[in-house]
Amino acid sequence: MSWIQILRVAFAGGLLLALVACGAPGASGPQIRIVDPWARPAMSGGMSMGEGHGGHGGAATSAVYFVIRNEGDQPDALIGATSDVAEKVELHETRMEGDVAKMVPVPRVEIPARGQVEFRPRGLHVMLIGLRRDLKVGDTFTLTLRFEKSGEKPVTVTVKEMNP
Amino acid sequence: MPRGFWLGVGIGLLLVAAAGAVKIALDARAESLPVYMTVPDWPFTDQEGRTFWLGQTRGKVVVLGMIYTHCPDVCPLITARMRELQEQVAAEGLSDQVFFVTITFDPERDTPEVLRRYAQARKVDFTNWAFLTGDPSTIRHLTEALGIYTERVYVINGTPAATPGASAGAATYFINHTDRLFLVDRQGRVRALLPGSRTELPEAMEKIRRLVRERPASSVPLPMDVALRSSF
Repeated sequence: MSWIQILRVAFAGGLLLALVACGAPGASGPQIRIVDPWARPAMSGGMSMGEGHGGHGGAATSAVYFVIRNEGDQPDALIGATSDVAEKVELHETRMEGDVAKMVPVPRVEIPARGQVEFRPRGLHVMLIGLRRDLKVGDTFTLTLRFEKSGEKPVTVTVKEMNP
Repeated sequence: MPRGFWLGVGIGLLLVAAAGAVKIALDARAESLPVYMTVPDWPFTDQEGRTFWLGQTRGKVVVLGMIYTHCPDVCPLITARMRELQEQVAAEGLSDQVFFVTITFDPERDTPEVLRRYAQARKVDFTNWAFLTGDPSTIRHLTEALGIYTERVYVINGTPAATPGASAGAATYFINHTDRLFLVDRQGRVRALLPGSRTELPEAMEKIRRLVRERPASSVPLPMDVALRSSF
Protein backbone atom coordinates (compact mmCIF):
# COMPACT_ATOMS: atom_id res chain seq x y z
CA MET A 1 0.00 0.00 0.00
CA SER A 2 1.49 3.31 -1.07
CA TRP A 3 1.60 6.39 1.15
CA ILE A 4 -1.07 7.99 -0.95
CA GLN A 5 -3.38 5.00 -0.44
CA ILE A 6 -2.69 5.04 3.31
CA LEU A 7 -3.54 8.75 3.46
CA ARG A 8 -6.74 8.15 1.48
CA VAL A 9 -7.83 5.38 3.86
CA ALA A 10 -6.99 7.53 6.89
CA PHE A 11 -8.91 10.50 5.46
CA ALA A 12 -11.92 8.33 4.64
CA GLY A 13 -11.82 6.76 8.08
CA GLY A 14 -11.64 10.16 9.76
CA LEU A 15 -14.52 11.43 7.69
CA LEU A 16 -16.56 8.37 8.59
CA LEU A 17 -15.80 8.81 12.30
CA ALA A 18 -16.76 12.48 12.13
CA LEU A 19 -20.07 11.63 10.44
CA VAL A 20 -20.80 8.91 12.99
CA ALA A 21 -19.99 11.32 15.82
CA CYS A 22 -22.29 13.98 14.39
CA GLY A 23 -25.10 11.49 14.08
CA ALA A 24 -24.59 9.90 17.48
CA PRO A 25 -27.47 10.16 19.97
CA GLY A 26 -25.31 12.01 22.51
CA ALA A 27 -24.67 14.90 20.17
CA SER A 28 -28.32 15.66 19.50
CA GLY A 29 -31.34 15.46 21.78
CA PRO A 30 -32.22 17.88 24.57
CA GLN A 31 -29.60 20.25 25.95
CA ILE A 32 -30.93 21.57 29.23
CA ARG A 33 -29.71 24.73 30.94
CA ILE A 34 -31.15 26.14 34.18
CA VAL A 35 -31.05 29.93 34.38
CA ASP A 36 -31.18 32.08 37.57
CA PRO A 37 -32.60 29.65 40.15
CA TRP A 38 -33.87 31.50 43.25
CA ALA A 39 -36.08 30.78 46.26
CA ARG A 40 -38.14 32.79 48.69
CA PRO A 41 -36.89 33.28 52.25
CA ALA A 42 -38.77 31.07 54.70
CA MET A 43 -38.62 29.70 58.20
CA SER A 44 -38.16 26.05 58.97
CA GLY A 45 -40.80 24.16 60.95
CA GLY A 46 -38.76 24.72 64.12
CA MET A 47 -39.19 28.46 63.61
CA SER A 48 -35.56 29.16 64.48
CA MET A 49 -35.28 32.19 62.22
CA GLY A 50 -34.56 35.43 64.00
CA GLU A 51 -34.53 34.96 67.76
CA GLY A 52 -33.90 31.24 67.69
CA HIS A 53 -36.38 29.65 70.07
CA GLY A 54 -38.78 26.95 69.08
CA GLY A 55 -42.44 26.95 68.21
CA HIS A 56 -45.14 25.15 66.32
CA GLY A 57 -44.67 25.80 62.65
CA GLY A 58 -45.89 22.65 60.91
CA ALA A 59 -44.48 21.77 57.51
CA ALA A 60 -42.91 25.07 56.52
CA THR A 61 -42.72 25.71 52.80
CA SER A 62 -40.90 27.75 50.22
CA ALA A 63 -40.88 27.92 46.45
CA VAL A 64 -38.09 27.83 43.87
CA TYR A 65 -38.20 29.63 40.53
CA PHE A 66 -35.97 29.53 37.43
CA VAL A 67 -36.01 29.31 33.67
CA ILE A 68 -35.34 25.98 31.92
CA ARG A 69 -33.82 26.43 28.48
CA ASN A 70 -33.58 23.55 26.05
CA GLU A 71 -31.04 24.39 23.38
CA GLY A 72 -31.22 20.91 21.86
CA ASP A 73 -33.30 19.61 19.00
CA GLN A 74 -35.33 17.15 21.09
CA PRO A 75 -37.94 17.86 23.76
CA ASP A 76 -37.51 16.78 27.35
CA ALA A 77 -39.65 16.81 30.49
CA LEU A 78 -39.02 17.80 34.10
CA ILE A 79 -40.39 14.91 36.14
CA GLY A 80 -39.24 15.65 39.69
CA ALA A 81 -36.77 17.28 42.04
CA THR A 82 -35.00 16.64 45.35
CA SER A 83 -33.15 18.76 47.88
CA ASP A 84 -31.58 18.26 51.28
CA VAL A 85 -33.30 21.37 52.64
CA ALA A 86 -36.81 19.91 52.49
CA GLU A 87 -38.52 16.65 53.37
CA LYS A 88 -40.57 16.73 50.19
CA VAL A 89 -40.06 18.49 46.88
CA GLU A 90 -42.94 18.71 44.41
CA LEU A 91 -43.72 20.41 41.13
CA HIS A 92 -46.70 22.73 41.51
CA GLU A 93 -48.51 25.39 39.60
CA THR A 94 -50.59 28.28 40.90
CA ARG A 95 -53.61 28.75 38.69
CA MET A 96 -55.91 31.76 38.97
CA GLU A 97 -59.62 31.05 38.61
CA GLY A 98 -61.09 34.54 38.69
CA ASP A 99 -59.42 36.06 41.73
CA VAL A 100 -58.98 32.69 43.48
CA ALA A 101 -55.45 31.29 43.57
CA LYS A 102 -55.40 27.50 43.37
CA MET A 103 -52.42 25.24 43.98
CA VAL A 104 -52.23 22.34 41.55
CA PRO A 105 -49.61 19.56 41.68
CA VAL A 106 -48.01 18.96 38.29
CA PRO A 107 -46.60 15.47 37.55
CA ARG A 108 -44.38 16.58 34.64
CA VAL A 109 -43.49 19.75 32.78
CA GLU A 110 -42.75 19.43 29.07
CA ILE A 111 -39.69 21.34 27.87
CA PRO A 112 -39.94 21.88 24.10
CA ALA A 113 -36.95 21.55 21.77
CA ARG A 114 -35.18 24.87 21.26
CA GLY A 115 -37.59 26.42 23.73
CA GLN A 116 -37.88 27.40 27.36
CA VAL A 117 -40.26 27.15 30.29
CA GLU A 118 -40.38 29.77 33.02
CA PHE A 119 -41.04 28.89 36.65
CA ARG A 120 -42.22 32.15 38.21
CA PRO A 121 -44.39 33.57 41.02
CA ARG A 122 -48.12 32.90 40.45
CA GLY A 123 -47.19 30.18 37.97
CA LEU A 124 -45.08 27.02 37.87
CA HIS A 125 -42.80 26.52 40.88
CA VAL A 126 -40.90 23.85 42.73
CA MET A 127 -42.42 23.44 46.19
CA LEU A 128 -40.16 22.78 49.15
CA ILE A 129 -42.35 21.16 51.80
CA GLY A 130 -41.17 20.60 55.35
CA LEU A 131 -38.08 22.82 55.41
CA ARG A 132 -35.24 21.37 57.45
CA ARG A 133 -33.56 24.73 57.91
CA ASP A 134 -34.27 28.41 57.56
CA LEU A 135 -33.83 29.96 54.16
CA LYS A 136 -32.43 33.44 54.71
CA VAL A 137 -31.68 36.03 52.08
CA GLY A 138 -28.25 35.31 50.62
CA ASP A 139 -28.26 31.58 51.56
CA THR A 140 -27.62 29.01 48.86
CA PHE A 141 -28.60 25.35 48.61
CA THR A 142 -28.58 22.57 46.06
CA LEU A 143 -31.70 21.51 44.18
CA THR A 144 -31.47 18.51 41.90
CA LEU A 145 -33.88 18.55 38.98
CA ARG A 146 -34.75 15.23 37.37
CA PHE A 147 -35.39 15.18 33.63
CA GLU A 148 -36.88 12.32 31.65
CA LYS A 149 -34.06 12.22 29.08
CA SER A 150 -31.31 14.41 30.48
CA GLY A 151 -31.26 12.77 33.89
CA GLU A 152 -30.38 14.67 37.05
CA LYS A 153 -29.22 18.28 36.92
CA PRO A 154 -28.05 19.77 40.23
CA VAL A 155 -28.33 23.55 40.48
CA THR A 156 -27.34 26.06 43.14
CA VAL A 157 -30.33 28.07 44.34
CA THR A 158 -29.91 31.52 45.91
CA VAL A 159 -32.43 32.80 48.47
CA LYS A 160 -33.58 36.26 47.43
CA GLU A 161 -35.82 39.01 48.72
CA MET A 162 -39.36 39.18 47.44
CA ASN A 163 -39.38 40.35 43.87
CA PRO A 164 -43.04 40.65 42.98
CA MET B 1 -74.78 103.58 36.91
CA PRO B 2 -78.40 102.55 37.24
CA ARG B 3 -79.27 100.59 40.34
CA GLY B 4 -80.58 97.72 38.23
CA PHE B 5 -77.16 97.26 36.65
CA TRP B 6 -75.42 96.58 40.00
CA LEU B 7 -78.26 94.30 41.03
CA GLY B 8 -77.75 92.30 37.83
CA VAL B 9 -73.99 92.08 38.44
CA GLY B 10 -74.60 90.89 41.98
CA ILE B 11 -77.06 88.20 40.91
CA GLY B 12 -74.67 87.10 38.16
CA LEU B 13 -71.80 86.72 40.62
CA LEU B 14 -74.03 84.75 42.98
CA LEU B 15 -75.05 82.41 40.16
CA VAL B 16 -71.40 81.85 39.16
CA ALA B 17 -70.44 81.11 42.78
CA ALA B 18 -73.39 78.74 43.18
CA ALA B 19 -72.50 76.90 39.97
CA GLY B 20 -68.91 76.55 41.18
CA ALA B 21 -70.05 75.13 44.51
CA VAL B 22 -72.35 72.64 42.77
CA LYS B 23 -69.51 71.57 40.46
CA ILE B 24 -67.13 71.05 43.39
CA ALA B 25 -69.76 68.99 45.22
CA LEU B 26 -70.46 66.87 42.14
CA ASP B 27 -66.75 66.34 41.50
CA ALA B 28 -66.23 65.26 45.08
CA ARG B 29 -69.14 62.85 44.78
CA ALA B 30 -67.80 61.45 41.52
CA GLU B 31 -64.38 60.94 43.13
CA SER B 32 -65.66 59.23 46.26
CA LEU B 33 -65.14 55.51 46.50
CA PRO B 34 -68.11 53.16 46.92
CA VAL B 35 -69.02 51.66 50.27
CA TYR B 36 -69.02 47.85 50.19
CA MET B 37 -69.56 46.87 53.82
CA THR B 38 -68.49 47.60 57.37
CA VAL B 39 -65.71 45.45 58.79
CA PRO B 40 -67.05 43.73 61.93
CA ASP B 41 -65.50 44.73 65.24
CA TRP B 42 -64.42 41.27 66.35
CA PRO B 43 -61.53 40.29 68.65
CA PHE B 44 -58.34 38.71 67.35
CA THR B 45 -54.84 38.10 68.73
CA ASP B 46 -51.86 40.01 67.41
CA GLN B 47 -48.30 38.82 66.81
CA GLU B 48 -47.39 39.60 70.42
CA GLY B 49 -50.29 37.59 71.84
CA ARG B 50 -52.36 40.69 72.73
CA THR B 51 -56.08 40.99 72.08
CA PHE B 52 -56.73 43.19 69.07
CA TRP B 53 -60.25 44.33 68.22
CA LEU B 54 -60.67 45.27 64.58
CA GLY B 55 -62.57 48.35 65.83
CA GLN B 56 -59.27 49.64 67.22
CA THR B 57 -58.40 50.77 63.74
CA ARG B 58 -61.41 53.11 63.47
CA GLY B 59 -60.17 56.61 62.75
CA LYS B 60 -57.43 55.38 60.45
CA VAL B 61 -57.38 54.23 56.86
CA VAL B 62 -56.66 50.49 56.88
CA VAL B 63 -55.02 48.23 54.30
CA LEU B 64 -56.33 44.76 55.15
CA GLY B 65 -55.08 41.47 53.73
CA MET B 66 -55.73 37.79 54.49
CA ILE B 67 -52.99 35.19 54.07
CA TYR B 68 -51.59 31.96 55.52
CA THR B 69 -47.90 31.61 56.29
CA HIS B 70 -47.50 28.16 54.71
CA CYS B 71 -48.53 29.59 51.35
CA PRO B 72 -45.39 29.44 49.22
CA ASP B 73 -46.40 31.47 46.20
CA VAL B 74 -49.21 34.02 46.36
CA CYS B 75 -49.36 35.10 50.04
CA PRO B 76 -45.68 36.17 50.16
CA LEU B 77 -46.50 38.40 47.20
CA ILE B 78 -49.54 39.85 49.01
CA THR B 79 -47.31 40.63 52.00
CA ALA B 80 -44.65 42.10 49.71
CA ARG B 81 -47.25 44.37 48.11
CA MET B 82 -48.42 45.52 51.53
CA ARG B 83 -44.84 46.19 52.58
CA GLU B 84 -44.31 48.29 49.44
CA LEU B 85 -47.42 50.27 50.37
CA GLN B 86 -46.20 50.64 53.96
CA GLU B 87 -42.90 52.04 52.70
CA GLN B 88 -44.65 54.45 50.34
CA VAL B 89 -47.08 55.55 53.07
CA ALA B 90 -44.08 56.29 55.31
CA ALA B 91 -42.33 58.17 52.50
CA GLU B 92 -45.38 60.41 52.17
CA GLY B 93 -45.58 61.08 55.91
CA LEU B 94 -48.88 59.22 56.34
CA SER B 95 -47.79 56.47 58.73
CA ASP B 96 -49.86 57.91 61.58
CA GLN B 97 -53.00 57.86 59.43
CA VAL B 98 -52.72 54.51 57.65
CA PHE B 99 -52.68 51.16 59.45
CA PHE B 100 -51.95 47.73 57.98
CA VAL B 101 -53.68 44.54 59.12
CA THR B 102 -52.83 41.01 58.01
CA ILE B 103 -55.16 38.25 59.20
CA THR B 104 -54.45 34.56 58.76
CA PHE B 105 -57.11 32.18 57.52
CA ASP B 106 -55.09 29.27 58.89
CA PRO B 107 -55.26 29.84 62.69
CA GLU B 108 -54.45 26.19 63.48
CA ARG B 109 -50.89 26.64 62.23
CA ASP B 110 -50.47 30.41 62.36
CA THR B 111 -49.93 31.15 66.04
CA PRO B 112 -48.91 34.66 67.17
CA GLU B 113 -45.27 33.53 67.25
CA VAL B 114 -45.43 32.04 63.75
CA LEU B 115 -46.97 35.26 62.47
CA ARG B 116 -44.37 37.40 64.24
CA ARG B 117 -41.47 35.45 62.74
CA TYR B 118 -43.11 35.41 59.32
CA ALA B 119 -43.38 39.19 59.47
CA GLN B 120 -39.87 39.64 60.84
CA ALA B 121 -38.46 37.51 58.02
CA ARG B 122 -40.07 40.01 55.65
CA LYS B 123 -38.75 43.07 57.47
CA VAL B 124 -42.20 44.32 58.39
CA ASP B 125 -42.38 47.51 60.49
CA PHE B 126 -44.80 46.71 63.34
CA THR B 127 -45.30 50.42 64.16
CA ASN B 128 -48.43 50.53 62.00
CA TRP B 129 -48.93 46.88 61.05
CA ALA B 130 -50.56 44.07 63.04
CA PHE B 131 -50.55 40.37 62.14
CA LEU B 132 -53.64 38.71 63.57
CA THR B 133 -54.77 35.20 64.32
CA GLY B 134 -57.68 34.09 66.45
CA ASP B 135 -60.54 31.76 67.12
CA PRO B 136 -61.11 29.56 64.03
CA SER B 137 -64.85 30.21 63.96
CA THR B 138 -64.31 33.99 64.19
CA ILE B 139 -61.84 33.82 61.32
CA ARG B 140 -64.20 31.67 59.28
CA HIS B 141 -66.99 34.18 59.80
CA LEU B 142 -64.68 37.04 58.81
CA THR B 143 -63.65 35.32 55.57
CA GLU B 144 -67.32 34.79 54.79
CA ALA B 145 -68.17 38.41 55.62
CA LEU B 146 -65.36 39.72 53.41
CA GLY B 147 -66.13 37.31 50.59
CA ILE B 148 -62.80 35.54 50.86
CA TYR B 149 -63.05 32.02 49.45
CA THR B 150 -60.89 29.40 51.17
CA GLU B 151 -60.63 25.69 50.45
CA ARG B 152 -58.23 23.34 52.21
CA VAL B 153 -56.46 20.93 49.85
CA TYR B 154 -54.34 17.97 50.91
CA VAL B 155 -51.72 16.66 48.51
CA ILE B 156 -51.37 12.89 48.84
CA ASN B 157 -48.83 11.23 46.53
CA GLY B 158 -49.03 14.17 44.19
CA THR B 159 -52.82 14.13 44.00
CA PRO B 160 -55.05 16.85 45.54
CA ALA B 161 -57.66 15.63 48.00
CA ALA B 162 -60.31 17.37 50.09
CA THR B 163 -59.54 15.23 53.17
CA PRO B 164 -56.24 14.05 54.66
CA GLY B 165 -57.26 10.40 54.26
CA ALA B 166 -55.38 7.76 56.21
CA SER B 167 -52.18 9.82 56.50
CA ALA B 168 -53.79 12.38 58.77
CA GLY B 169 -50.80 12.76 61.06
CA ALA B 170 -48.26 13.81 58.47
CA ALA B 171 -50.58 15.28 55.87
CA THR B 172 -49.64 18.70 54.55
CA TYR B 173 -52.40 20.92 53.34
CA PHE B 174 -52.54 24.02 51.25
CA ILE B 175 -55.35 26.51 51.02
CA ASN B 176 -56.82 27.70 47.76
CA HIS B 177 -57.92 31.26 48.44
CA THR B 178 -59.05 34.59 47.06
CA ASP B 179 -56.18 36.91 46.16
CA ARG B 180 -57.45 40.29 47.39
CA LEU B 181 -56.64 43.35 49.50
CA PHE B 182 -59.18 45.68 51.11
CA LEU B 183 -58.97 49.43 51.68
CA VAL B 184 -61.00 50.43 54.72
CA ASP B 185 -61.94 54.01 55.57
CA ARG B 186 -61.72 55.78 58.94
CA GLN B 187 -65.22 54.55 59.84
CA GLY B 188 -64.34 50.90 59.25
CA ARG B 189 -66.08 50.60 55.90
CA VAL B 190 -64.56 48.68 52.98
CA ARG B 191 -64.19 51.25 50.20
CA ALA B 192 -61.97 49.53 47.64
CA LEU B 193 -61.02 46.00 46.61
CA LEU B 194 -57.50 45.55 45.25
CA PRO B 195 -56.23 42.47 43.39
CA GLY B 196 -53.99 41.18 46.19
CA SER B 197 -50.63 40.01 44.88
CA ARG B 198 -51.29 41.82 41.59
CA THR B 199 -51.96 45.19 43.20
CA GLU B 200 -50.36 48.12 41.39
CA LEU B 201 -48.68 50.54 43.78
CA PRO B 202 -49.71 53.83 42.06
CA GLU B 203 -53.39 52.85 41.85
CA ALA B 204 -53.48 51.67 45.46
CA MET B 205 -51.70 54.80 46.73
CA GLU B 206 -54.10 57.05 44.83
CA LYS B 207 -57.05 55.40 46.62
CA ILE B 208 -55.28 55.47 49.99
CA ARG B 209 -54.57 59.21 49.60
CA ARG B 210 -58.20 59.80 48.67
CA LEU B 211 -59.40 58.01 51.83
CA VAL B 212 -56.86 59.88 53.95
CA ARG B 213 -58.19 63.19 52.59
CA GLU B 214 -61.77 62.33 53.56
CA ARG B 215 -62.96 64.19 56.64
CA PRO B 216 -62.58 62.05 59.78
CA ALA B 217 -65.83 60.78 61.26
CA SER B 218 -65.19 62.78 64.41
CA SER B 219 -62.70 65.48 65.29
CA VAL B 220 -62.62 64.16 68.85
CA PRO B 221 -59.65 61.81 69.43
CA LEU B 222 -60.94 58.26 69.26
CA PRO B 223 -60.24 55.69 71.99
CA MET B 224 -58.48 53.52 69.40
CA ASP B 225 -55.79 56.16 68.96
CA VAL B 226 -54.95 55.82 72.62
CA ALA B 227 -55.02 52.02 72.35
CA LEU B 228 -52.70 52.01 69.33
CA ARG B 229 -50.25 54.37 70.96
CA SER B 230 -50.07 52.25 74.07
CA SER B 231 -49.77 49.02 72.06
CA PHE B 232 -46.85 49.94 69.82
